[in-house]
Amino acid sequence: MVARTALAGVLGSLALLAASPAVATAALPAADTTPVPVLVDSTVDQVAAALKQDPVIVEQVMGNGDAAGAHDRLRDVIDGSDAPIYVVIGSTPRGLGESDPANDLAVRLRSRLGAGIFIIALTHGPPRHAAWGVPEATQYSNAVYDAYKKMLPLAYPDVDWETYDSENRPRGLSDVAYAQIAATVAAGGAPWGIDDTALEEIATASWAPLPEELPRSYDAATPGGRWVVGTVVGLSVLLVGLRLVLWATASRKARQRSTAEATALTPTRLDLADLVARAERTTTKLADELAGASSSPYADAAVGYRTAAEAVLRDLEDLSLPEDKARYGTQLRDAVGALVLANAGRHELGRAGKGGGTERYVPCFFDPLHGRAFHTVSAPGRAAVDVPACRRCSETVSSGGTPRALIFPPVRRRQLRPYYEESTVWARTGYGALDDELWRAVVADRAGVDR
Amino acid sequence: MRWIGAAVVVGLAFGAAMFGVQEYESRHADIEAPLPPGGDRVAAATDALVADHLYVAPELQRLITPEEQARVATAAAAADPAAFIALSGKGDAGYYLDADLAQYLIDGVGEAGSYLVWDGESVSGTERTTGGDLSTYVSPDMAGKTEAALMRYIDAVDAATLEPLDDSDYWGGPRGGFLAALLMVSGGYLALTLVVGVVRVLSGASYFLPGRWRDFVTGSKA
Repeated sequence: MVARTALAGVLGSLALLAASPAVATAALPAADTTPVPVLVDSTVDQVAAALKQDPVIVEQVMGNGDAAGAHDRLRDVIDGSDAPIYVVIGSTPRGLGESDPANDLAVRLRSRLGAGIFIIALTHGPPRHAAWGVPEATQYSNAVYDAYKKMLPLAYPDVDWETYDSENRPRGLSDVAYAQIAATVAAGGAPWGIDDTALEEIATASWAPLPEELPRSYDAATPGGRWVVGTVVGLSVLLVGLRLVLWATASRKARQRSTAEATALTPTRLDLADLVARAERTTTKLADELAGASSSPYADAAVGYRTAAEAVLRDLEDLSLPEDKARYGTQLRDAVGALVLANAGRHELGRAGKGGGTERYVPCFFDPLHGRAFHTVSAPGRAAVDVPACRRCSETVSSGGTPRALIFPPVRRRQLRPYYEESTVWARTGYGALDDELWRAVVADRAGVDR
Repeated sequence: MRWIGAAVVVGLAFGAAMFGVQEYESRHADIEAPLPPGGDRVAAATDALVADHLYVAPELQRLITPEEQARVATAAAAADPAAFIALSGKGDAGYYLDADLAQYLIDGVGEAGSYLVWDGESVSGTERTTGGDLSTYVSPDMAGKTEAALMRYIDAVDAATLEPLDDSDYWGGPRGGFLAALLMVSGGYLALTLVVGVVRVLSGASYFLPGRWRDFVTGSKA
């Protein structure tokens, strides 16, 4: 009767064992049901005694959020192994060495419990695993280390564990996961190892990784922040994009003007000596023609032109060299002016004798050396100004370009610009293109300026 | 042609803005999102705080006797604003920092007051307040006897009051954010036009780019 009951009891237990692993754990006889003292309050003897009852101890403080679950998983793995396996995960017991309490505990437990495999992870010091008195015991450690190294890339496929980047690296795997690997390798016996599927199962389990820091409120995304980012990005793209569209679709004239201004700026080739010689010749001719001319308003104007030309030529008696940029530049401008004055004077006399037509001498505004201007064009530029131009310049303007202007060699490169953008009397009058009485302006200018 | 280009640009601008906001949100924590599951210790501490205003982890029981715990729990519950104390230990119990545990407890207990988390070893604990800001600074200093330190803390909390939180975001909401962005973009665009103009002048071209904004309106031929 008693035997039958006992047999029934055993069969019942076995049936429960077969039914589910979790229930099997509960069904195993627990010889002593008094609660085990917390590790931190226990001596090594008390720990050893507790392990004899239940070879797996997992305390909440090191359980990574599920101490009971970790305990059950570890029991599942080690139940059925040939060699005894003991797992201790929790607070640090009393009386152990300070720098490596886990190793210390393993050694002392071995002396109390005998041969076996000890897997220990405490609140202080590094986790340890050791095997004594089992076949190929020394290989066990290496097998666990190899498995652990393989596990990290499986758990975090996007992290490069080789490069040291403590800012962005995840915290890694918990001691509970480490113990699970060590126990799985231990339960397999020699030769020690763990197959890749089992390893991956542990590596990717939700209970394996250590939790990261929670997001902080000062780091949060705020509605204001969203509006700042959205507006800055959107408005910047809009402004820059529209500006580029305007640039791309600007009238050909505008774009040409923009590039023409970049390409047209080279100084006009001028020879000071040649210009002065021509001016002197023309002035001499003017003087000769005046000697024989009858008086008339045209003749009076011609006298004015001659006076002005001679005044300018006086300063050109001593020619400077191109190296003396400032003085050379001034003389170039004056030389052109003298030539224009002389030509204008001769033309005035010609008007008197109806030799040169009835219009006064108007040089091309863009370059008086181009000769007379017979056309009027709108000057390319911001202001709407109509200026006289020679045939070639007028054709250039009407086809949308900028005419080749008279550009004197500058003292400094950045001063490179057409003569009419300077502030000389020549620029103001356009060498007579803009002023009916160039000679008066020149004489007044020389009288006012102390040269 | 110009208007087609403008329409394309407007579309791009919208797209870029949406993308920018998305990037911003992915780089900044979403504090509205629920916390990840805390685990067994978080649950134990939460339950203890709801019941007694005091949680002492099993491995820290040696720091404070049951009688002392009873006194501390009574004082913490009686304090106004309320005090909640968790002697939660130091290990890997399902959360990372003590500040993280404090956040879990605030979330789980759901009562206004001061929450103190101490690991039993450090010189001071971690304090977090919810439901407002404490009017005076409460030191989480835990030096000396545990009961005495905890009573000091509770007295300091009791002496303070909870001020309503000044809950404005740094930019001042959507309106403030929009205005700040206008300021930034106008300054940035002016600077950009200055740089572009100077580079153009130095290389011989005109300061201004071809094309005028008024072309959109007066529509000179493209």
